[in-house]
Amino acid sequence: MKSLAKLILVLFLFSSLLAANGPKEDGKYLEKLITYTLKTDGSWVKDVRHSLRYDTYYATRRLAGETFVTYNPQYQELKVLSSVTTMKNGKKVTIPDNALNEVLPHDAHGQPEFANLKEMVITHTGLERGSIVDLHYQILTKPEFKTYFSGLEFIKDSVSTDKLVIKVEIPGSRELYYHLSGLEVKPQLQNAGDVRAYTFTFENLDPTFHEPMDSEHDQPFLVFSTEKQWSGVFNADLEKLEISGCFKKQIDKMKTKYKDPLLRLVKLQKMVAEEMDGSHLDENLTGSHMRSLETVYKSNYGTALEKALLLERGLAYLGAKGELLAVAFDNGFSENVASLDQVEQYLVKVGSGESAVYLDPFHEMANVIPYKLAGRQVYNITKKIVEALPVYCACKNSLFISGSSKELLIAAKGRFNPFVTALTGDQKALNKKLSKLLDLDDLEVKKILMLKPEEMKVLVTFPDGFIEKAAAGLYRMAKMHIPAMEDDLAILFSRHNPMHLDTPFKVHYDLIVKPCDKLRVDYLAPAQKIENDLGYYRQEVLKQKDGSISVNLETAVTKNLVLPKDYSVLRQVVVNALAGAPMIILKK
Amino acid sequence: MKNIALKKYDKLLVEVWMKRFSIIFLLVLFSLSAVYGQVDLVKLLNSAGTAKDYKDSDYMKIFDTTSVKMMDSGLSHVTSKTFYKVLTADGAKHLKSIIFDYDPQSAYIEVKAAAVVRRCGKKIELDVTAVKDYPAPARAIYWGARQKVLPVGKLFPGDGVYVETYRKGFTYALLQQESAPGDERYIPPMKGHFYDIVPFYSDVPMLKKSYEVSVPASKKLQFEFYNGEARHWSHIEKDRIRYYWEKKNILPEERENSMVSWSDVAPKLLMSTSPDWEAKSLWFHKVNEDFGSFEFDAEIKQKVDEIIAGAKGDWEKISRLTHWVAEEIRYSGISMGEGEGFTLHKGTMTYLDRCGVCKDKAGMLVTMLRAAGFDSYPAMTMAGSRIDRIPADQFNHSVTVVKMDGQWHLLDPTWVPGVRELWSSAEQQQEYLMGIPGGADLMTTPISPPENHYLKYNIVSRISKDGTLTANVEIRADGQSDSNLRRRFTRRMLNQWDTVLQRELFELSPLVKISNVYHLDPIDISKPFLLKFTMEIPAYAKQGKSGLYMTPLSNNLPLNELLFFQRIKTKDKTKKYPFRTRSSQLVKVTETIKLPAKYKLAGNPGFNSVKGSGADFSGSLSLRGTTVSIKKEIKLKKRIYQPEDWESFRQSVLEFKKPDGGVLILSKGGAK
Repeated sequence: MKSLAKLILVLFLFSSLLAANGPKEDGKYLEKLITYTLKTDGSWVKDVRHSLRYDTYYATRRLAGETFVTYNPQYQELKVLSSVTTMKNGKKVTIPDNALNEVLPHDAHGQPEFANLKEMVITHTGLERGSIVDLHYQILTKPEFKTYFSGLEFIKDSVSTDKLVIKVEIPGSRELYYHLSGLEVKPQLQNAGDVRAYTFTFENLDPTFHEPMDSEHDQPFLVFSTEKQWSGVFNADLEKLEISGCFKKQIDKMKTKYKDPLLRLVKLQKMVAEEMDGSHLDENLTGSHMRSLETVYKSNYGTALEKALLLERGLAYLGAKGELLAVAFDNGFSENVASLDQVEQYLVKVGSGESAVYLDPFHEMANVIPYKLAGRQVYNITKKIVEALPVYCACKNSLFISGSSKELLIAAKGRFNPFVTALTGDQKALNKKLSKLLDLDDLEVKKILMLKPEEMKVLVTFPDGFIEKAAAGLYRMAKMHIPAMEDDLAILFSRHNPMHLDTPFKVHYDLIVKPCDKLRVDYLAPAQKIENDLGYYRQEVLKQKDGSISVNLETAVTKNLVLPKDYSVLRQVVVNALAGAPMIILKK
Repeated sequence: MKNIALKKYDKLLVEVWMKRFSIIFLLVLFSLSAVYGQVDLVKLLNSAGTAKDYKDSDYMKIFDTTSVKMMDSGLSHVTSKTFYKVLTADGAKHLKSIIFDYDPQSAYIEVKAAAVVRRCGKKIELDVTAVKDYPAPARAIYWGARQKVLPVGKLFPGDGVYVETYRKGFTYALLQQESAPGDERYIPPMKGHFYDIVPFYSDVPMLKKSYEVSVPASKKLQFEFYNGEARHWSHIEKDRIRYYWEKKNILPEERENSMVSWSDVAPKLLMSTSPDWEAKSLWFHKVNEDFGSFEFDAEIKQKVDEIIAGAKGDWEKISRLTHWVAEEIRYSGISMGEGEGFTLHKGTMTYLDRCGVCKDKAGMLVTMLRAAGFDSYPAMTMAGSRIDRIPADQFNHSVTVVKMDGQWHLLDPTWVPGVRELWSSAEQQQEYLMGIPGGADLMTTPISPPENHYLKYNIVSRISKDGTLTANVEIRADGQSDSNLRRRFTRRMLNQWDTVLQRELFELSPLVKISNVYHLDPIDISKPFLLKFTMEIPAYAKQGKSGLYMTPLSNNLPLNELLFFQRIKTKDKTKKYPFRTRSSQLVKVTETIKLPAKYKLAGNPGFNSVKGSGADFSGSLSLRGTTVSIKKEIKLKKRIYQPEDWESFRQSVLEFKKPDGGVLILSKGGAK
């Protein structure tokens, strides 16, 4: 009897504990089944079924109240086979017809030639906390859509998954190349008649945690393709594409106006990357189909690949032979699985060796060297080889600022060098960029002492000086702004995911501050020195014999990839570098 | 007296000339329109100015003319002609395609003509058959809205684009008969009536904007031009009256920080043939009652009984039902097809879908309140902007009213998820129109006392010898302050809640360490929210030669985004336009700081009291032994403030931010 009472008490306590704590997660995938079936005629079907439980208002309102499926109706057909919500009391709510609505994918907005693309919005009705949605849909793709068959599936989701099965079925006569990044699971292979099936089964998957400066490609994913050769994923007609007379005319005009060969390259890059609108649509919606370069130019917008080709052909017309590079994502790249699912962006390389410059056909470009893509794997479409971009250490991405209160010498290397702005001679824009870089108002360039893609040396003035009024009779010098030392580098106490920095970097201020005679020094920041494997932070503020004060601040982060286990080490450097303590306090 | 008479004569003369001029102008306009696209467009293009004349603008409109013909049924035929000029490469990108939004259930649009005029004068006719028609991109509301896009293509600075369109219909889809033939669907719901809201302001330079409407003489059109002037005339032409407005050289205006919606203060024209708001109210009431929007079935009745079971009194029943709808009917709009628009989805539909937009949530609450025996109706309002007296349709939001003790009370199930209110005080001083039997006039929501939205900080701090700050912080909040605090958690996934304070306090100092975190369940709104934690910041206070320098936490408040004045810039000494905060608010801060040794206060770090129409402030700062005590209280008295409220508002905020520069200076050698 006593033990029964104890058991009841334990059960009561347990259940009240559960009730008090509520759910630990916003929801859970009870099951997810994704099947790709490639048919002998080259068409394929993607079949998706999932069973998702919603445990919080966040889940119903923000996480998965709707399912969005994009497709290209010219080559694909979407069939929403069923969507049923089982409410907490067991009541089944079948999705009504008006809950299936087609809209234009946002990435196609303002692009008339992509106005046929569709995004199906499946609004799940009957949702409440504790309800379960069972969804089943298929996308049927015609063989003409792409020159090859491929897919990429992330294994984990933002809520945990009890069971995930990804199955890829291909005709026995075809080969499948696949790469599972971040997990070691072998597929089960089955041969039935003329069909070979690869089945990947995953159970009890943790949820993903979104954190600042993480990369989705650090999460486990499966990429597969029927192509092993990268040349096979690009439309064979690419090489035949020609630019229009109108574009040639614009290039001729530009050529007449600018004589410097590098400036011409940069101006052409601007014509394609900045003066034309960019479309974020990719192969998943456009397939392997390319518009003619004449159409692309005349429409004034282009996808990443279209713009890359336009730039490469434009360069050829200019007399500069460019190599077209497809740049892989920052993690998990597999050379043996040829698929554009692994490509993040394109570059056009002009020249070779150390003098090579890299032009970005899609984004505004600060420099002609891709410091922020250092070390990335690329497929060289022109040469038909896989290679890697050069790697640049922290010393190649450095900023050295020296001088006195009103005149500074800035030596900016790598990522800190606004080379393109300086090269194009836009003085106002350069002042603005450097002001932003150092977070100093009204900074003005007096003289450019050196200008190379690797480094710029420039003499600047700024009217305000470093000393600012803090209160009545009190003045201070705040800590100088350290570019690239962002809050996101240390905002969390610990991390689940690796952290990706744009580049390793180094910043050094060596300043002399001369307070006016009426002010006396009341406080100088103490010396600090923190050094470890991932970087350092040093500061020294000293009063000199002539009454001036020297301020020396040096910091660096030496790696661009920081694993969760090393995060606390880096954080030690970053929090001290970011702590906004005054360097100097002066009193009247 | 003489002057006044002269002025009247002048005015008369001007009117006569204006009429004559109008006729001449019309003739010129006619002749111009006949040759539009040739020489005249080129002339206009070349004389319009360049990027140097219009800094910060990427393109401009050389003219934007609209001509409307209203029919007896209320149907309107609208012809618009717009001539754009590209000023920069970004402008060329913007105009590469021109998009027209419409709802096929109630509107029709056609591009009649379009041309590119190159800066060299070459005119290229655009193929209007190339216009694409497709479902518009959408999020949250899926009502079948569509877009048409005109491909324009590559443009260069200096080029012009001329577009002529024809439209009929109106913005909202309304209750329709099943087999509406022909133009029936384009006739507004208040049959025989017409309204329009015409902005005479622009985000890009506009050299000329004109609007002309021709209405049957039998219709009484009332109109008003707000916040400025426009050239205007009206002519009687047989059985019709033509009205015309024109404004030249409209430039983008600089906005003030935290100002009210630009449409509240910018020039605009409102017109309506509807006699008054009562007529609109009666129509709104009838259209939903006739449709049966609020009929409930046994399942709804059972749910209502379950929700209100055990409630102590009517207000608790109303509160439970309002919050049930707020939380359980998520905001996601699916169309019921014909009838979408002002017609509220039937309660039975929304109950099954468990989703809807504001009007459907409002309708669900009306349905449930009626099932519980209350007298309840929907109402229309305009979130974020003012509604003016002309009864044009200036609504973007729908809410619920319930009658208690002979009075109508507002309930907003859309704006109160996670809010301990029935009517969101983020909607104070907002006009609304009830759809009740007998009709109603336009009304304004009341001001909610700041005390209803208190935010109380209680901070007990200690500074150690090495300057380390240790503080126990307690934050209590209610009303809009409470919901703002909860939202820090509820807008993140559950597995991110642990990082909320890390992210919020990092701004105070990257060196911060946090412990002893305690808070109530952010989902449970039965009690005002409470958050407690301990924080430690090394080297927070700086020991100088002559004293200790520190920023009291009361001046560097954790989670300072909770202060509704935080983003309001106090740099400007005066305001030209009304301004707003999220809500009225009372902020009370109490802090004690235990110092490592005895100091005395340097300078004059006290506070000045402020009282005024915008805000009040009071505060005190004292040092006793080794303990500094700071008390501050600021009352933000409303949500929408007039320029004359700025003085007390600004002074209160400046006092709240004392000590000057955020630094408390303590001199060595305090009395023993």
